[in-house]
Amino acid sequence: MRPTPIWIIVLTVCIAICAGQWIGIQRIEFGIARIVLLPLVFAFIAGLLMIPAVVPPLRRIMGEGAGQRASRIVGAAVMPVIVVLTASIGTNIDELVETGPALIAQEFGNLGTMLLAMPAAVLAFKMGRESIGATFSIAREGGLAFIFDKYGPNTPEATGVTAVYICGTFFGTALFTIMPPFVASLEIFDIRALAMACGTGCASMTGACATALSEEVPAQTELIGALAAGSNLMSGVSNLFIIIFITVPLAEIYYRSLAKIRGPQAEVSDV
Amino acid sequence: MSETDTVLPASQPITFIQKVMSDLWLSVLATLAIAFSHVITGLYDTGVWIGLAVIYVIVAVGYVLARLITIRILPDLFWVSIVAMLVTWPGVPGSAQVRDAINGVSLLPTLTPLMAFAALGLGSREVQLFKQAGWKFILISVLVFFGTFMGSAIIANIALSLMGA
Repeated sequence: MRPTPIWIIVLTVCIAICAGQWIGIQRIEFGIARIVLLPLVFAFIAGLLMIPAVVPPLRRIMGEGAGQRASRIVGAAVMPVIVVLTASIGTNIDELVETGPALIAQEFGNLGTMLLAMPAAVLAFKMGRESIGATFSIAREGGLAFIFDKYGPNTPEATGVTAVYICGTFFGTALFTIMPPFVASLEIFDIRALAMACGTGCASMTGACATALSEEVPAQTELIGALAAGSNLMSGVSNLFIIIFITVPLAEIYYRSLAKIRGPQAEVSDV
Repeated sequence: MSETDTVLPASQPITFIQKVMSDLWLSVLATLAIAFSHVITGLYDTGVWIGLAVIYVIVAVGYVLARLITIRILPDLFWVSIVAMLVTWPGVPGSAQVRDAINGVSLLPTLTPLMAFAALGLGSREVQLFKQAGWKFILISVLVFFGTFMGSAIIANIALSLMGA
């Protein structure tokens, strides 16, 4: 099988972009909240429908190794997004300093991940130690590496973190364009708090989140970008330390107390 | 993000230049896709082209810096961010013009190509793993992402109102 020529990748991407733009922004209003689907969600789905792994007959046209070549461009394609966001830090630095304590405090918001997801994993789905790997963080590269290093590759913890890593790769970024406008439409939160919450340490999710928020509040685009980018930079620095010294030790304790409620593993989860 | 390449020390001039060239080439492809995305969205005034050119230069300088400084603890993203912040910082000569140029570029059409590339970047191994993960892990993942966003948002909101900011 011939390797995928680069023009096929570019052409496919252009088709996906057109599909996204053609469908456009979809807003679904229901009662007190709103779900917004941005073109990029549709572009992603269109892209999925054009890869051989999903539609096998396409292998003939696409050739071999399109995935690898395209995923290297992903790293380059995220850079302009980050440039646009960080470019607004300088002019908004006063606001960043002023809200500094909030910016630092919300770095510990990552703990909300396991607070919410671990009971579901242990109590509702009766999962074992997979729960620790699956719910300690949003399972991006750093967290994945740490779990593999600490527990080993053939452990339930590694299974859990891999599963969430893969799910995040598939719909994490899309989810980060849907959640922020939804939560913003509830009108409970300060838009600055939501902008800060965008900074996850994962550039594409941060970019997606900031973009979706700016679409809702266009007048605040610069401030949203600055807070999200600032929070993202801080997460990039602090995430691994928080994971090693706080999240994973806490996840162990939390898991054991939840496991007591669940009782001795009644059924070994076969996931 | 998908940094799987081995670390190349700067002492190997040919491989170093090759690596940088390959990064810059990928960056050109990404920038072209973003330009296309703007055109499709109906945004194609000169401001867009100037903005994209300026962004490309910033990314390129960031990449070169990242390759020159061989301590690879910090991702490329860090260096690109540093360059972007530096050239737009108030008081830095020309920063106002650079900011204006970058503001010519819209976020939404910049993000769309990223998602298209990300979809194409998924190989059969990823699709296989995703199918294996099953609906339980899909539900848990949704809770995981919702949890981290809400956790940060709640803490930030409380902190902001305590500060009266």
